[in-house]
Amino acid sequence: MSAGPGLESLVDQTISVITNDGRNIVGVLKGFDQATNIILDESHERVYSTKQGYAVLDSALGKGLDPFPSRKMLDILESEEGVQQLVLGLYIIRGDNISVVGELDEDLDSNLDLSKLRAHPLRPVIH
Amino acid sequence: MGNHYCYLTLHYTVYDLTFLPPFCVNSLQLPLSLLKTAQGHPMLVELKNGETYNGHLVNCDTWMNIHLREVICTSKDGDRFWRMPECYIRGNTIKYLRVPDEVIDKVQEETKTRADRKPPGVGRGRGRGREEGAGGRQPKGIGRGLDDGGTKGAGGGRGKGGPSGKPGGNRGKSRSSLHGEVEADSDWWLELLQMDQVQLQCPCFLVHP
Repeated sequence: MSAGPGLESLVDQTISVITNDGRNIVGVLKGFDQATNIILDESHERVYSTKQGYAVLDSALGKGLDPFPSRKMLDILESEEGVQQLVLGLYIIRGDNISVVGELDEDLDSNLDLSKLRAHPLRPVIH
Repeated sequence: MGNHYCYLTLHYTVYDLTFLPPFCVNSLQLPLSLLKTAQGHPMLVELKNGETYNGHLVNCDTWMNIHLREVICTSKDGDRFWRMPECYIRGNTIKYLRVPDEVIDKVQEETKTRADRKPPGVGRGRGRGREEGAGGRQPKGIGRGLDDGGTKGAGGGRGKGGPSGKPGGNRGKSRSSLHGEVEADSDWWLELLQMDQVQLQCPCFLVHP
């Protein structure tokens, strides 16, 4: 990442975004504007938990996850994986809702065994 | 005559620098341009309060206010649903939008064609015919650019007036035909006039409230 303010240097790179509601979304940065609205392509959400199965689903729904992908999610969540990855696709995230944007080291990331990773979900930002 | 062409060259340079925002250079897209491109497509909108709206995008503006048709609203818990023929959502209540994957390819195509339409080089060695050809097309290019680029709403409003609405449209036409046929010395002021108009449409002149 070259020096300088702004997200220019991250364009077309994989980034990790943490939103105000505590979600972690990973995808390729395709664009942004002055309000930090960003375009994420091929994005997916990583749902962290220390628990398994339906407990995850409950907490995810509590965060306002839409019910349609969650049907698909159901199957995934029943498996015993640690960190769930939900495919989201092309997203426009409003800047208001973004807490952190970070670049993702793809080598490091591909060496992670997400199924063995356990973490508490992030709590939403309180204004 | 010499001065006249000097002006023209300057004109192109100004156009290039002002019209293209610094970030248009890479493959970078503006979120609001992408949204504009997604018109007519189905999308999912989640609001800050957790409600989600599924519908087809009719229109949007630079505040991200959006107009959807054939909407299904889902409560935060995902247990209640409402169907409505249309709805209008204030931009600042939006958390995110999920748009179909193919929309990003469309917006790339659009920017590509826009780039193709740009005047070809500004090299000194260019023949004068070339410059005129580009000049004739140029106001159109700018009008379009503002429209689908939608970088700033302010731009759209002012910019639109120029090429088509006001006498500018006519002038542009007669101008290019004039240059196609005769090289009248007396035309240079017309070019200048046109240049003024073009400058008025440039986004950088529109940033004031």
